[in-house]
Amino acid sequence: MSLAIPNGLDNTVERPGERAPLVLGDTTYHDITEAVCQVAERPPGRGWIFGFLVAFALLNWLGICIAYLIYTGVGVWGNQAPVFWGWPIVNFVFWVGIGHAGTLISAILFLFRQEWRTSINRAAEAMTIFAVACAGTFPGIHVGRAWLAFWLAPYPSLNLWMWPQFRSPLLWDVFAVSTYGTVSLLFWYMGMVPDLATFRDRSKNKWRRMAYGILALGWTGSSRHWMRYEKAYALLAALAAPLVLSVHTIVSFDFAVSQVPGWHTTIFPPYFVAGAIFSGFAMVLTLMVPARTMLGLEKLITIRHLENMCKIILATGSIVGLAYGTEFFIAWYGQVPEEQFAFLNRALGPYWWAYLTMVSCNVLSPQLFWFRKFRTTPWLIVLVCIFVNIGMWFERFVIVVTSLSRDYLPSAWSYFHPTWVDWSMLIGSFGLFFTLFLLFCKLMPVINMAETKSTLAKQLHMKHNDEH
Amino acid sequence: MSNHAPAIKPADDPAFTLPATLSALSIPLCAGGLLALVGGWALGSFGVDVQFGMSAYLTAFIYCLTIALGAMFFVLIQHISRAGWSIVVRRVAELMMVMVVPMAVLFLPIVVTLWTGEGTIYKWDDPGYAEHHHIPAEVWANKTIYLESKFFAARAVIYFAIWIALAVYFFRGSVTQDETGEKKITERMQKWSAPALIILALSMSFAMFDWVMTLAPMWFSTMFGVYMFSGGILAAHCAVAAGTYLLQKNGAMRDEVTVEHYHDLGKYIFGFVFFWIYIGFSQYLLIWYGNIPEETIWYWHRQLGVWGALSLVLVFLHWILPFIGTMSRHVRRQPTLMFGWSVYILILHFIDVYWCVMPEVYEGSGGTLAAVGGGIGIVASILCAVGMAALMIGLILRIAGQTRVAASRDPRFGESLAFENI
Repeated sequence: MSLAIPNGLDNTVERPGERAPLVLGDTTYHDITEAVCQVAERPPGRGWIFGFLVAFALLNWLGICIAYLIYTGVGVWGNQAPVFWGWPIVNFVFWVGIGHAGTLISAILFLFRQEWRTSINRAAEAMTIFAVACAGTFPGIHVGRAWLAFWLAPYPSLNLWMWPQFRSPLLWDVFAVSTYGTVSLLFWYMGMVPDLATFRDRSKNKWRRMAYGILALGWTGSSRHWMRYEKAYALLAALAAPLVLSVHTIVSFDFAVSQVPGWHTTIFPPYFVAGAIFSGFAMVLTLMVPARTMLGLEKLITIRHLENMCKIILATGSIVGLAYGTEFFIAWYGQVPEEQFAFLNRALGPYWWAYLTMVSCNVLSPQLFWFRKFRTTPWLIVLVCIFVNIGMWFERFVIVVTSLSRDYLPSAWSYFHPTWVDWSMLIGSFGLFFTLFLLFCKLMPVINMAETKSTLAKQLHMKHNDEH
Repeated sequence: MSNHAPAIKPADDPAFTLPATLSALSIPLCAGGLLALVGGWALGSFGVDVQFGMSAYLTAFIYCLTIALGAMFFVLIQHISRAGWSIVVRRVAELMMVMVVPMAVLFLPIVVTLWTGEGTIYKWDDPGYAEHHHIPAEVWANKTIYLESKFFAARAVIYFAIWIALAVYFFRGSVTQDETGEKKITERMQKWSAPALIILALSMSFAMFDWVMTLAPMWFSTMFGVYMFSGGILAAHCAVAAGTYLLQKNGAMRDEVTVEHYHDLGKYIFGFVFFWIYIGFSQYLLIWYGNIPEETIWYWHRQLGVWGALSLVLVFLHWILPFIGTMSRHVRRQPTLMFGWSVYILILHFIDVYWCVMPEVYEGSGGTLAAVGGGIGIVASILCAVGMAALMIGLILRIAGQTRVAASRDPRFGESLAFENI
């Protein structure tokens, strides 16, 4: 088997019977180490410092808003009868969805033996964890009395001696999201141990060496270490794979178990999961496309990697589109007046603009990825992905707000108005996400060096065989 | 990927032709299958009643169709993902997917009964249904826009046109490659597999709404198409594993298909066992929890008597048992065991389809023995399914005899031969 284009930068063409290279140029093992380590070792550039300051300012603003909310009460939000689940829940579902790409890439693509995952899994997993952190913030403060949020834990609460309601999907959410967060964190950290050891060994400063030394858990790279590492990785991958499906399934149950028209529909679980993967990949691409250029990693995160992710976006976006269509069809076919009203109201009611945004961003914009040009031109990818991110936020807005604002009781109907606190918290959550992500870029190995090297090894092996 | 791949045998090597022992079975299977199918239908129609006979026939039809469409999904997925591992077993799935062509002919009796009104199983075709079930006239008027026999038949024509076009296109491409070895064919099929998958998902989902969900005219579930799809995909993977095993046992592809391929098929079977219960359970949970009468009625019918027992059979024997059984790597790497599990799941898939279709004949009937047509009804239902499946296998063997049993000139065939699990 031969390599299609050994030195060029276009590895998106793969002739049948050959496998296109995933590491480009005459990159050696040492080049990979250098390319990844220099990101963390060289002093932060102006772009990074500026980005960090903006993100950190927004994070602080989020903190101030949370303090104001807790001090004043949830009335500072736009949540009003009948829309009791306003933006906080929209933001929660939005961020949990974003957190689906990382573990999909590292667990499910690993089980599917997709080699191209090796140079993107680390950053994607990091985004997963940061997105879950953003998501976790919102239910925590949405409970109103945030200092009693620990009542969500499954134990008979102090002085009330009451257990949480186990029959409520909201409690299942607590388990689902916290399990997912824990396993993702473990998976991310465990995969990072060999690379942290590399960082430790390259450290010139005593404190740095000590810090990475502690994190590297005494990794020496012996074959016994590697054997155990690989076994643990495969096991965690198998355990994490169903979690990718379970989290957003449970989130969909939050809505679908109820009788609210527009929420109660059986297709929600797979449709939410597809939507989550869709939005997660869009966020990964939005950040990774500029990052690979700024950090000088184009030979490791190639156009082929980006193109593959675009294809996943196209596939999941189309599943989401089919689900929208199915919902509409069944609402008509079922002939239940409330359901029919709910869906017509979505498209033509007072929130028609949100629905239009959702459909054009989620269903129409990814269709551009049918064209090769859009899948292989970095700035076009980012453009489409930003639309997808916007669309997926609006999808949750449409589901939560449109359905609640037009409930069974017409006398209670009202229009939802977000307040400045709602806006601030949405923007502030991006501050949290970007602060964590920028810190990660500066402190941790952004690419899995060890696995990328194993990909390179296979590639060189194929080339070697070809020459004989 | 190993480097020292075994040499690829020439396309006309006996390893890639259907063994004589199997091709000799083609005509007896076709004839016997047809006989059993007609016999089963006649036994159901005259031993119980005409609606029952036709329902047993529909069960057999949906059983075979979901497997054929599942096989089509398998083929398309291999193309879209440029898979290397599966090339040695892909032809088996391709042969199964072509069965949508004879299935189109087998659908005719269903349309005919609908048009003549004799023994139709779709109650929406009965003019007295709305009144009898106290359905408001306005609702019924809207319902019958969709549930109308001519429109129903027209939709069926569209579904089959789509499936036949897809099956013929992808089968012909693969078979042509056996002769020419052109790489272009692979590229072309790869390109078309993406839109094909979307069209397949949409058409299959709607076909299952039309043919199975509307058996209960007032019931609806957006997930229903996905549920039928999940069972079909699982069964198709089992059919591929079982078919490949039988080919090998009779002398074909002995060196080509290795324990690695069974291992991978086993992983998918394990995964889809779980996917099936995931979809099935989610559908049940949401309907149970919402507790809205027009939705719960479907499960209520399936909770009583015989149907309730079958529901438990599905939970324990279609999910828990194979889930535990195929979990171990050891099992998945034993072709004989994988063959056993595959046949087992193929039987359970029949029960799943039976459980979806048959309770609607008498609207549940409280799950008494009369609801399954008594002993005669059970025999008739099984005869229909076995007959139709035998007929399909006979036809597959017939086509396989004229072509080859492996896409040996696929450019990734070598990769498939050399593939190893870590």
